[in-house]
This record gives sequence, C-alpha cells and structure tokens, in this order.
Amino acid sequence: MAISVQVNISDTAGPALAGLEGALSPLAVAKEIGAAEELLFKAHFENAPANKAGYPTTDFWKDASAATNAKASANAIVISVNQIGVRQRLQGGDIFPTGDHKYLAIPARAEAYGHAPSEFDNLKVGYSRAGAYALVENQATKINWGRQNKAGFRDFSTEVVGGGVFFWLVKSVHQEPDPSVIPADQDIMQVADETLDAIIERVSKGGAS
Amino acid sequence: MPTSLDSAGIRALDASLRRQSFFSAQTLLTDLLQSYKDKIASIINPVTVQRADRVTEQNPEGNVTTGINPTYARAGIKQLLRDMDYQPEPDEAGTIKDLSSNQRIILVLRTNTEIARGAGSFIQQNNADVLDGFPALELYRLKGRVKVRDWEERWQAAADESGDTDADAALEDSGRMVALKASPIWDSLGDGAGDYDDTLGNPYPPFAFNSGMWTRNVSRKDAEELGLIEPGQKAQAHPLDLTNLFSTDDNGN
Repeated sequence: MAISVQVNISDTAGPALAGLEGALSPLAVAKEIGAAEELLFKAHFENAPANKAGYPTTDFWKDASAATNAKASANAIVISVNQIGVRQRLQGGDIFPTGDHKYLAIPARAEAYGHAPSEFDNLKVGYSRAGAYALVENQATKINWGRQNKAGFRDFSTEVVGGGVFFWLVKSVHQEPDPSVIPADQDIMQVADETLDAIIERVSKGGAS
Repeated sequence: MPTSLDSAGIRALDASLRRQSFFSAQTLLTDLLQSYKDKIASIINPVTVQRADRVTEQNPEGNVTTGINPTYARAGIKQLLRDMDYQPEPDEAGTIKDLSSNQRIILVLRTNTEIARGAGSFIQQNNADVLDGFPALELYRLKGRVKVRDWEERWQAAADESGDTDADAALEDSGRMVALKASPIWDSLGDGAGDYDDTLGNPYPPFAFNSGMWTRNVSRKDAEELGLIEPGQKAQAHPLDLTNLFSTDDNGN
C-alpha cells in the first residue's frame, strides 16, 4: 500500500445508525461509504491541474485515480492510492538521490519531462565552477542540403544544433506539503453524510444495506 | 507465458488464460518478461517504509513510498535490452515490433499495469456490500488520446449483442454509458462486439489496447433515474468467477 487516508466515520454514523441498528451492518455501511469516498478521491485526482511548466501530461493524476481504492472495517474507511509520488506531494519533504546516484535530475524542457536521463543517448554533463549542474544535449552539425546544381553537385549549408539543457542536476529537492492534493475534510465528511442518508433511506424503505 | 503471437493472436486466446498469463506479443525473451513482471508489480504495489530522515510535522512516522514509476520502469527495460545486446530487425527499428522502442515498452507496461488495476477495481466494484448502493458502472474517458475511438458506437454494438436495451436507452436519454454491474454488456465490450479487433477480452478496463476509457461506480439514485434498476430491486454482481481472476497456472505463473 502506498499512501492511505483514514476516514473516521464513527462520530457521524453512530447516532444515525442507532435507530436502525438491527437492519444495518456497520461493515456494509462502511464499505458503501468507502465506495462513495473512493469516487470523491478519484474525481479530485482526475480534476487536478496540469503540471505547472505546461509540459505534455504524463497522466500522473489519472493514473493515481486508477490506483485508488477503498477498504473498510466496521469503524473506519481507508482510502489507498497505490502510486509512487502521491505521498510526496501530499506530505512534502526532502528528496535525496538514492543508491550510487549523486544528483537528482530535474527535467528542464518538455522533451525531458516524463523521461529518465538514461533514455537519452546524446546527453553530457555540463559543469560550472561549482561542479556538475546539468545534463546538456551534445552539439551536432546539421547539414541542410540544397538543390542539385548544373554540375551535378548539391549545395549545402551547416548549422550547429543541440547544446540545450535537458535536465538540471541538484543534490536534493525540498517540497512543501500540499494538502490540496486530496479532497478537503469537509468534502470527505459531506460525502459520508450523504451516503449514510441514502443508505438509511433505502433501508427504511425495505432495501438491503 | 512467452509467446510469439501478435496482438490479434493474443486476443484469440481464451480470455481466462490471458487473465492468468503475463503476455507480450512476439516476445520470446524470458528475462525481459521477468523484468516486466517485476517492474509492473512494483508500479501497482509500491511499498511503504519508515525512514528517520523523512520525519516531518506532516509525516511524523517518516513514511516513504518506495517502488518504481513508469518512467524508470521504461528506462530499466531499455537498459536490460542494451545489456542483452538486443538489436531490432533493421526494418523494424523504432516501430511497435522493436522491443526496445518507446511505443512498444510503453504499450506493454501500460497495458499490463492497467489490466491489473482494472481487475482490482472490478473485484471491489462487485463486492456484495456495495452493490445495492452502487449497482451500476459508467464507462467514461479517464485519459485523453490523440486518436479517440468512438466508444458510443461500441457501446451500442455491445448493448445490441448482449441484449441490454436499458444500457442502450440510458445512452440515448442521458449521453452516459451506464449499465448494471451484472450486465453482459461489459463482456461484449471486452470481446469486441461490433467486430472490433483491438479489445482485450475482459469485462473490465482497459477494454482495448491503448484505451483511455475506464469505469466508475454509479449510485443507486442515478441508476434508478436512468431506468436501470427499480427502487427496492436487489442489485446483482457480475457473474464472472472473481475467485479465479488471479489464480495461477500449474507452473505458478
């Protein structure tokens, strides 16, 4: 399980369930509220804004939606998001390189976003006085061919291409917590209340819980 | 299950066999398949560990989610193929038939990850305790695609084939593709009703290769308003034997 958010429904459910104690199973109620909360979380993820840089999407939040599920016990619901990165955005914190790596590679342009440096075979380390600072595209000479002349030769011109920064190299990154990554507490409680009302209405009319 | 079948060949296999088997068209490299399996398992089941250096006010236990993301899974597969000195056929380099091409690796990672997630959701959606509150599912677009397939047409074809006239009417009336969880329309969608040959044979998403469509629970109130279920009517689960969805074969695969 990657990250989970526990929703305590006991305070809300207790008084309302008292009158229908015999007809409702607390576990069944929790599962149904869990399904409703799961929908809330999924919709929240699916409506998350695109990445700040405006790069082509990697569908991170759409994948988070698909990776979201609810588990319920008699007195709590746990919403789990089985995806790397969601906890980091929610809780923030420092990120350091792992393993033998010395740097984190931060995408510097759209072509690099959603890719690992090892997926490119034309990058080299760029150095400043302070040391390595970026992964830079190798420069290359591009030949632009012209029309064939009367002598049978083709004109051409050359230009130097590449040299742009693909990834910035940093030794750590600090992210601030972002509680807006998940729905607000009041929205979570509202969904619990509404779902509970629907259950009680259905059961009171003779339906199953 | 190493196989030399192409996608159409895979589709022709029995659906239950495909559910139990990890497949990649025309891939005969067992090490590669194992690497795919390991990476996809890590994507769909990341692990939480506690680290003292990650303790903050918001994260007092120092929980860290560890695993692999699709980007590094893709990079790892490419590295493995380089280590194996894999060379595509010259006329196939960069195409879907090139095992080291981005589009091939993305397709395999994405399809298998999404099948696992779709199956997991399907099991939860059909849990007996949520059926009456959420008796139906909606097919909707989760992810955008450059080329968008006509899913309403597929829906109508699946409704025709399965005989689910209520699902057809729901689309006509509301513009939403909603059907009861027990409806055979989900099987028809996955089986390519309407002569579609890009489907995956499962009654849960993704219903087709590279599809951005997914399913979500629909409340009883909505299902009643759409004419799919009567007030007081008990909702049913999909008849697929869920207990066998992730069972293993004789080889433990």
